Amino acid sequence: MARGVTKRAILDRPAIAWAIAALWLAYLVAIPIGYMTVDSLTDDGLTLAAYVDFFEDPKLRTAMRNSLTVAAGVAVLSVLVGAPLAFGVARTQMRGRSLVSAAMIVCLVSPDFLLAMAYIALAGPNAGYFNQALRAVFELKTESGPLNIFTLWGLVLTALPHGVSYFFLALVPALRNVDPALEEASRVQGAGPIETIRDVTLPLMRPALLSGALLAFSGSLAMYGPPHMLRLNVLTISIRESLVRLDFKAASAASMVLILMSLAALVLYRHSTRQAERFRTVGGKSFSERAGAEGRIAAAFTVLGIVYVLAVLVVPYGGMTVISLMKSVGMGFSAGNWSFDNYRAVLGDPAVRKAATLSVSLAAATATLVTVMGFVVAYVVIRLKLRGRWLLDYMSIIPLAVPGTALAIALAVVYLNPPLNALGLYGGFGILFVAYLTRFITFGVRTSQSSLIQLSPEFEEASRVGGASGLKTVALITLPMMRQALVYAWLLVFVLALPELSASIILKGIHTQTLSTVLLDIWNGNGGLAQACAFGMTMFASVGLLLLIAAAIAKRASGGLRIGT
Amino acid sequence: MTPSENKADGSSSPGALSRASGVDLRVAGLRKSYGSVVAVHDVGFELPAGQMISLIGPSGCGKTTTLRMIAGLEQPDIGSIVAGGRVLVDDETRLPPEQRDLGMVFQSYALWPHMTVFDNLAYGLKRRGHAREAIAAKVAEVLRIVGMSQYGERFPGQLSGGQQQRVALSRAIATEPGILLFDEPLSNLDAVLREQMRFEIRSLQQRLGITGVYVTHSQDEALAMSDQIAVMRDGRIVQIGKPADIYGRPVTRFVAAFIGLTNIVELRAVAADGNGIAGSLPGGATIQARVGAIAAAPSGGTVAVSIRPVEIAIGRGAGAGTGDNRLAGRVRTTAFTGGLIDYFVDVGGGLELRVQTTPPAAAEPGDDVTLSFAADRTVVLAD
Repeated sequence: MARGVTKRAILDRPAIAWAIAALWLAYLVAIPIGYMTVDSLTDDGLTLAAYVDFFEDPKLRTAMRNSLTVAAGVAVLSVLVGAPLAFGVARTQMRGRSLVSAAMIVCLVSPDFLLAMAYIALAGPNAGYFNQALRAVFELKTESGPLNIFTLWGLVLTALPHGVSYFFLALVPALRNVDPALEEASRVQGAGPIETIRDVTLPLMRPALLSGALLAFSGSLAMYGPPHMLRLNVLTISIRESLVRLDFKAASAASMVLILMSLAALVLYRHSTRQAERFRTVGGKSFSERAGAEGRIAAAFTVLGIVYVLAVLVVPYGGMTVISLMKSVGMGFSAGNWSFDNYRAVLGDPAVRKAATLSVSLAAATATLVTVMGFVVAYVVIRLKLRGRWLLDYMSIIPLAVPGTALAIALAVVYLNPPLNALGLYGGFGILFVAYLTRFITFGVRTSQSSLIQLSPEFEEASRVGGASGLKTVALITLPMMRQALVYAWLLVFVLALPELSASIILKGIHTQTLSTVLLDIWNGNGGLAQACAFGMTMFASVGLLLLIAAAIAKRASGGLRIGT
Repeated sequence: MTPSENKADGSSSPGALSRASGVDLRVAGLRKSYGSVVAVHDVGFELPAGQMISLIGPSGCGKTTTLRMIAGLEQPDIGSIVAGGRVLVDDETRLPPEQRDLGMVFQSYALWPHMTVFDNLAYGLKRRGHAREAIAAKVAEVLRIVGMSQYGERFPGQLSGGQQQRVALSRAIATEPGILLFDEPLSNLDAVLREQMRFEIRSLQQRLGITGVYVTHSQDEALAMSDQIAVMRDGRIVQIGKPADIYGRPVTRFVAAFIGLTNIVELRAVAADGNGIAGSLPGGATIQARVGAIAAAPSGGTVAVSIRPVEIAIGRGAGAGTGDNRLAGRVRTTAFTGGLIDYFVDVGGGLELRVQTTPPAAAEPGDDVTLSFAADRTVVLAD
């Protein structure tokens, strides 16, 4: 064994594990991002021409402005909607606290384009049911409106539930972890409850508020499905359009701009979560026994919670369910217009079946490899204490800041050009697999990391002293003790990968349609609204079921459901 | 001093635990640094087979790092560790932990929660390739030794803290290791249980002839459990010896104050004769001391001496008490702590001495008293 290589000598050949982890991350993260960076900066020599073209193109400038407007709008509204909900759940005796928490997780994990579909069906200017109802009630003479979802504001509303979930899930633990004595001291000093919230609680929450808003911001920057369905010009959409025109330089430059904006948000986010660590006055202690407000205040929060769950889950997915059961959407709510024909048509469609097979295999393979390699990377970073582990740590986070669309462009550039075009991945299963692995790498690494951090090294040390080698210790002690976290990571990645759209839509080949790209085709005309809704509801139900299993596992692992970093 | 050295044949098949399994341990010149911080500096000691040594000191003194280097969980920069004649670490050799034939009791116990008590105990035996029946017999035997026979099929999470402690101890001895390491094993127990386990571990260690290295920050544990104590500070051993010697003849102010309660006073205008020194207190009284670093005391200079509160007799009035050293003072305050009474006595010149006696109280606050103590209980310190 090499001398002085490790601080805690746990693996026999730590350098090998390090090298495997580094190669893995280099292949999936450093090569595509690095290649695209170089590619966007060169054209017979170093040049900023692609970026100059980007900022001179009025359509791209509009797209960037739209992206930023929508992301900022979602971030701000997420705070306004999410903060009261988080406070209600964390600090009052409102009813339905677990319902609201569950709704947040469902919203975050279920594909964003499903909600867009539902809102379009409900608030589309011509046929949307809200508009039909409003026109009937107010006896409006127009054939369209008054609501129009096909606007930037419509996009903000469509993306809002995602943003609110990010924000909510960041804020609730922070609210719960405040030492009640800090607020009690304020009350004893003569401040009322409102003043205490304003002067003590909110300032303590600042890092969590900021990090939640930043997650909402970067999530909205990266979204592809909703703007595609709403036919709005944002960056992710124009990136794809550039590629369709085979303008790789423009696509690369636009992708880089998008990545840099997300990266800025991610850096700020990391900074604010560090701040949150510093703000935590009592380390790791939880104060869940706090009673919280009751009576009228709690009742008000209960109403708010119910309205929110209705607006983001019950009404849209209920509406979709209703539509999916109609024989003909045009006949509306009439007797005899109901059947399961749409489900039969969709589930019997050979194209859908083929796509389902592909998506399930892709998601399963991705989840497996991401979980296994996530463990390897996490083990190297947390346990082996080798030089340069921070580099692995950073590389594993970067995919969070790379929107799926931008990643797809990077992979297209890499695998269409020498030398890696020799692999022949483009247009097939391989390119999608690589894209999925990169997109979800962070979830695998993070889940293993937080589990390993909680696992005292003494368990492994006791095994070494007991006579087991480093590898044997990993097999007999570390992995069995982490099994719930690993199963949870697998399910989470599977459920996120199954309906992946933003990279798939760019990288799919003629024979490699995924579930989500087929759904878009049906939506765009091949099958019509009712069949699309039937397809969408099937997808939603599958995601929901998998989520239930994941939640049960997370509950047994006692850490609760964790998403993101 | 060495009772026996029975484990010449190394690790054999598991047999009865009645014989001594401990081997002698020689640690020399250990050094460990993390970047520019030297955590352990030239640490060495020799421990005969069947004896227990305590490494004690404040947090960050290097005691745990030293233990972990013996275990092989950290590697020293330089130095050697030899157990029973077998080199664990030196310039050429660096055995990994699994090849060192050790047992270790961890601070958190580190009982694997996904295995039953039986499987926890069988783990090390399986690694050594013993047959299934031999393992079952061995596990049953060590569980009986710690009084946990009926708990073999339980999981660690179903046991109380004290029971987990016993299982951790039995896991450490199940493989009959040459050396047993203890990393503050009692720090997670409540006071009553801690006291009880202290004697259980000590009696088990003596009965089985285990060679043990015990890391603690508790002077009570160190004094009660060990044949030798090594007091550490800033990565070095500042004093090593039998518990009675460490307590009775501390070398430095740090050792005197860290092991047991003491009064440390400065003596000025020191004069030495053949078998002791004499010097004056700030109040003018002369004090004699006949033990400790007498040779190093500078003639005419200043030295510090240590006098334990329990070594000082207290009596009302001017003529009370006998002893080489006699001081007049006035009781400022007293405190009753159950078994002992504390007196804080002003002896003039701004100096206050703490005195402890068993009840009943020998003086009240405000009383004029005479303190007396023996010169051969007054220890000259080296710093």
